[in-house]
Amino acid sequence: MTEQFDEVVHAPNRLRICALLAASSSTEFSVVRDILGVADSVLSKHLKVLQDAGYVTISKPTGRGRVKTWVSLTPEGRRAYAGHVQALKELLDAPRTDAR
Amino acid sequence: MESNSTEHLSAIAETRAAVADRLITPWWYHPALGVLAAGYLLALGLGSIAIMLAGGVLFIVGAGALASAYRRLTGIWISGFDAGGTASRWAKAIGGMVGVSAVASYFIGHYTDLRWPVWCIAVLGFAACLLLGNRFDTALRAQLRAGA
Repeated sequence: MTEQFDEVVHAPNRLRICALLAASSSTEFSVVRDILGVADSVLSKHLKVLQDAGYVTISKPTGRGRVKTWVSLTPEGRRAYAGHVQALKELLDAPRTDAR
Repeated sequence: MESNSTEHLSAIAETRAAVADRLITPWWYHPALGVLAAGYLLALGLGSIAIMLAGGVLFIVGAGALASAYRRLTGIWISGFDAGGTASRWAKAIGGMVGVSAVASYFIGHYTDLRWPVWCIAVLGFAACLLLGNRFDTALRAQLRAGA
């Protein structure tokens, strides 16, 4: 089955955000920021795009101490990311298949 | 386009490796989980209804508190169900081991006069949490470093 590129996931920073979130159940905002090496504002902008597409959920659990923001990929986001990665792999495999 | 795909897949692999680097389980995590499991198994095998219930509540609340502490320390949470692959199998093995041990502990404790097997089951439960928990961690980090 040929998978589809996802324009929302395709942008380099969003692809890395999705890769990080797909590898976890949920991740704290500052950890995503540190691993990507981007500013808070840049990360917030990309998360907003992913959230608007229904690919991530953002929660701020209340409790003791400072409130931290947690981000996780939705099932739809996981499907879109998995399809995008598969499409990338298929693109790399295609020339080798043709050469046989 | 092909080189672009290679770059993107490399970026994904680097990101997953960075997640693996951050997942350093505190030394006390699995021993504490083992103590909770052992306490639960002892409560089931040796206790009255009230103690069994209290043991169950303590186990659930304690495991939740441990997970919460882990999340706070690492900023990342990966549940056994989301881990996938070999790591998920180790997580299921921990759950299955606690379940089977709980049933064994209850029946031995309440339908026989023997007490030492219950203590043995509790010790085994503690050891299994340590061993299988470490296996889960190792498998998870290997999966993350294996790439997209």
